[in-house]
Amino acid sequence: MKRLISLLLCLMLALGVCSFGTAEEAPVTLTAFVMQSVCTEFGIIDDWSGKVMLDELNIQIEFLPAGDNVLDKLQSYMASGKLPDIVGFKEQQYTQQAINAGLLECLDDHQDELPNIFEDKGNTNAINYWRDKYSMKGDGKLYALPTAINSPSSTKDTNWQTRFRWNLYKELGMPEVGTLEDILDICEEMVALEPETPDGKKTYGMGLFSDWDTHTALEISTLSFLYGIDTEYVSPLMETEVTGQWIRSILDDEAFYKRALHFYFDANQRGLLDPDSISMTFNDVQSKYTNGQYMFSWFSWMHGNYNSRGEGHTTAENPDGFIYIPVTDSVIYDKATQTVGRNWCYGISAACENMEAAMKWFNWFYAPYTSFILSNGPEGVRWEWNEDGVPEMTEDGYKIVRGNLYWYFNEDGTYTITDEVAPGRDYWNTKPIGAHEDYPFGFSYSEWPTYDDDPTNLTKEWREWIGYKTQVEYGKATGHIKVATGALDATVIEDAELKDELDIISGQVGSIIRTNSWKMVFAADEDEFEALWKDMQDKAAELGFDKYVDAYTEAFAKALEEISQYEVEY
Amino acid sequence: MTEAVRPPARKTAKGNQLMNGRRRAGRILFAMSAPFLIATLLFCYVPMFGWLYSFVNYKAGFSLFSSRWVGLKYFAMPFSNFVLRDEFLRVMRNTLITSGYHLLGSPLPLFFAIFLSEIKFVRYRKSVQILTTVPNFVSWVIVYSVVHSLLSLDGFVNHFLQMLGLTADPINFMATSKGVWITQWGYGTWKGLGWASIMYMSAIAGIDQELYEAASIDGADRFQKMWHITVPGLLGTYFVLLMIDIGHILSNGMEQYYVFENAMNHDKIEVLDLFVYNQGISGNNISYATAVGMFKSVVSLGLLFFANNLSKAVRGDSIF
Repeated sequence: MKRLISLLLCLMLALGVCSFGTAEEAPVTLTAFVMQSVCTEFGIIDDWSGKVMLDELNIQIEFLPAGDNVLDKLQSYMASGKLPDIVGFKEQQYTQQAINAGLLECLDDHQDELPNIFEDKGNTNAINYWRDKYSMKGDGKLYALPTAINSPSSTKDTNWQTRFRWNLYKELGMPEVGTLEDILDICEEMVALEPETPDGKKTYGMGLFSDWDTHTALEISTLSFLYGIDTEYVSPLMETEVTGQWIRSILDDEAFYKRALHFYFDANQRGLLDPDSISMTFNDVQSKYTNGQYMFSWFSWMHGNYNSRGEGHTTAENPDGFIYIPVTDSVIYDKATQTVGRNWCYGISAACENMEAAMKWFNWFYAPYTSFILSNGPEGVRWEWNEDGVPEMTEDGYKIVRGNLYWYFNEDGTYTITDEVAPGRDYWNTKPIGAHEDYPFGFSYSEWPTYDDDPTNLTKEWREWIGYKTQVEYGKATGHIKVATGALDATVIEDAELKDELDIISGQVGSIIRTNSWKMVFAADEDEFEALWKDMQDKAAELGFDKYVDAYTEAFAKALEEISQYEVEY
Repeated sequence: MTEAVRPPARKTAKGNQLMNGRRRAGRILFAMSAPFLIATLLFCYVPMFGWLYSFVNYKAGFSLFSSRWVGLKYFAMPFSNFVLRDEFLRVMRNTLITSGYHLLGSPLPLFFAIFLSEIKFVRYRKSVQILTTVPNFVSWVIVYSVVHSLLSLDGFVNHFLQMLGLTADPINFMATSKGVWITQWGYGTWKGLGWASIMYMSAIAGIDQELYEAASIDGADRFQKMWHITVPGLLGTYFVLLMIDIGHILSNGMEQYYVFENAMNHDKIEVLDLFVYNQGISGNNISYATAVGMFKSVVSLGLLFFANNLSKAVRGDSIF
C-alpha cells in the first residue's frame, strides 16, 4: 500500500514538473517611478492598462509611490546610484543630473529595439532637440524622451482659467469681473450667499495646498499663467512673458508674483482663504471642492468631483458647477504646439536588469497607438472603429465618461462597470505622444467628430450666456488667450559648472521664497507683508540671485533664437 | 639572545591552569562583546567615510571620485554671507533650545519612576507603566496625525472650545510659531517618558532593601526614604544618562520636527538634523549638508568631554 502511495506521489510530482515546463513564461516585472504622476495608488498596476501590458508584452509594471515630496524620493534613488527601471522626470535640472551621472541608458544604443521612436518622423524634432540639449556631457546622444510630443494648443479648455460656481454667479446677477482683485469681491459675495455647505461646513473663497511646492509657493505663483506669464517652464524663479517679449525675476519690484501674494494676503485678511491652506495637500483640497466648500478655482480640472454628472450639480434643473467666467484684464497662457515635447520626460535606468524587456516596453509606450489607448482604453469597451475608420464612443463608453465611472476586466475577458467613482489612477499623467498623423481625429474622445457632446444643463446655460461653444473659442475670439513660444520649454543652461552653481543658488533662494511667501499670505498687516517681501529680496540678493537672473535671461534669449530650427513642420 | 639570558619562568601546574582559565574567560568575554564592537564599527565608524562628500562638489548619482574637489568651500559657506550665517545661527539656536528643554525635563522620568514604584497596587502600577511605554513605539507620523485630528481647525479641540463658547473662530494651533518649542517638548515627553523611566525602575529594584528597613527603624517616613535612599541610589544612573544626553545635544533627530514642520513654524522648528535633511535631500546640496553634519559631530565630542570632566570634578565619578 505504502509503495502504491509513494508511486502515485511520484507520478503527481512528475506531472507537476511537466506542466510547469509547458506553462507560459512568467511575466517580467519592471519598476516605475513617475514624478509627474498624480496617482495615489502604488504596487503592481492591475487595472485594464495593466492587463493590456500583460497581454501584449508579457510585462507588468510595479508602480512606486509618487505623490508628495517626489524630489526627495528621486534624490534618494539617485544617491543610491540606481534608478528604478522606468523613470518619469518633471524637473529638467534632475533629468540632466541623472543623464550626466550615467544613471540613464543611452537610447541610441538600442535603436533597433525602438523602431516606434526612431523610425517615426513625428519624433524627429524632439529626438534632435533632446540629443542636442540633454546629452551626457555633450556627447550628442539620446538618453530620455519628452512627453506630449507634437501636442497641439488647447482646443476646448486651457489648463489655467478663472472658474467660479455658476449658480451663485447667476444669483449675484452675473457681474463683470474686471481684475484679479475683483475675484475676491465675487468670492466674498458668494460666501455670503452660501456661508455653509449642506452638511454644515464653512465655505471659503478658495484653499491652497503646499505639497507641490518646489522653489516657490507653487499655487500662488501659478496665478501668473492667467496673465500670460510663465513661472514654471523657463524657471520657477523667473517670470517670462509667454510670447517671449520680456523676462524678469519673480522678486522684481514689478513682479506679478507680488500681486499674486497680495491677492492671497487680501483673501486671508477678508476671511476668504481657507485657514487650513498651509497644511493641506492637493487631495485635501480636491475633496473640499467636491464638498462644495470653495467658490473659485484656477485650473480647468481642479474642482474635485463637483462637476461630475454623478454628483448631479451640472445636470440639475438649475445647474451648478465650476465654469469659466472671464476676468477682463486676464490673458490666459496656452501652450504652443510642442514639436519638441514638453519639459517632462521618460528614461530607462542604466541599472535595469532586464534591458530587453524595458526596451520592449519603452517602444510600446512611445507608439502613437499606446497614447491613443491610454486615453481611451482598449477597443471594444469605451469605443470602437466605425466604417469610416474613425473611432466612435460605445454606449458603455458614454456611460463611463459621463458618470466618471470605473471599469475593470474580468478574468474571462469581459468587463464590469462599477458605480464607484473612478479612483485617481492616472499613472502616467501626460501621454507620451500628443498628436499623430495616423490619428487625425485626435487622441481624446471629446475631439472626435463622432463624439456626441450631449452638453449638461450647466454647459448649455453657459454657452448661451457667453455666446461661444468653448472657452478656447471665446478666448481666441476676444484676445483672452495667448499662445506661448516653444522657447519656454527649451531654455537650458548648458555650462555644467555654472549650472551647479545656479542649482545651489536656486535651492537656497527657493527655500527662503517658499517660507516667506506663506508668511506673507498669512501676514498680520500690510507693513508685515512689505517687510517680508523686502526681506526676501535682500536675502536673495545676498545669496547671489542676480547671477541666476542674468544666466536665465541669457539662456532664454538663446532659446528664442534657436527654437525656430526645431519647430520645422514635418 | 634575550631569550637566553632571561631566567626560566617558574611555571607551576596550578599557575598554568589559572592563566589558561583567565585567557579562556577573556576570549569568551571578547566573543560576547564582538558583535557590538562590529556593529559600532559598521554603524558609527564606517559612515564617517561619507564625510569625504563635504570636500567635493557632490551631486546625487555621481561617484565620489568623479566629483570636483573643492576643499573647505562648504565649511566656509555658513560664514560666507549674512543670510547663510543667520540661517545657521537660527538653526543652532533652535537646536540648543530644543535640547535645553529636553535636559531640563531629564529628571522627569526619574521622579516618574520613583513615584510609580511607590504604588503598592501592582496591577495598577503595571498598567500605568505599560500605557506610558506604548507611545514610544508609535511612529511620529502616527503621532502627527493624531495631534492633527485633535488640533486642526476642524479638530476636536476647536469644536470643543466653540461648543463651550470660549472661542468664536477656530484657533490654528498647528500653523503658528508660538510656543513651538514647548509643545514639541511636550509631544516628545509624552512619547518618551515611560520608556525613559524603565532604566530607573530597574535601578530602583537594585537598591538594597535593608537600607529601607534600617531607615524605617530609625523612624524615616515615606518621603524621607524616597529622598534619602531612592534618589541618591538613582543619581549614578541619572548622571550617566545626562552625560549621554549632553553628548547628543545637537542631535534632536529629525522625524518629529519633519512631520510637524510648516512654513509658519519653520523658523523655530528647524533643528540641525532637519536642516541637514532639508539642505541635502530636499535642497539637492548634499555636500553642504555633510559639512554641517560634521560640525555636529565635532561639537558633540567636545561636549561629551566637557560633561565627563565636569562629572569627574563634581562627583569624583565619570564614564571614562
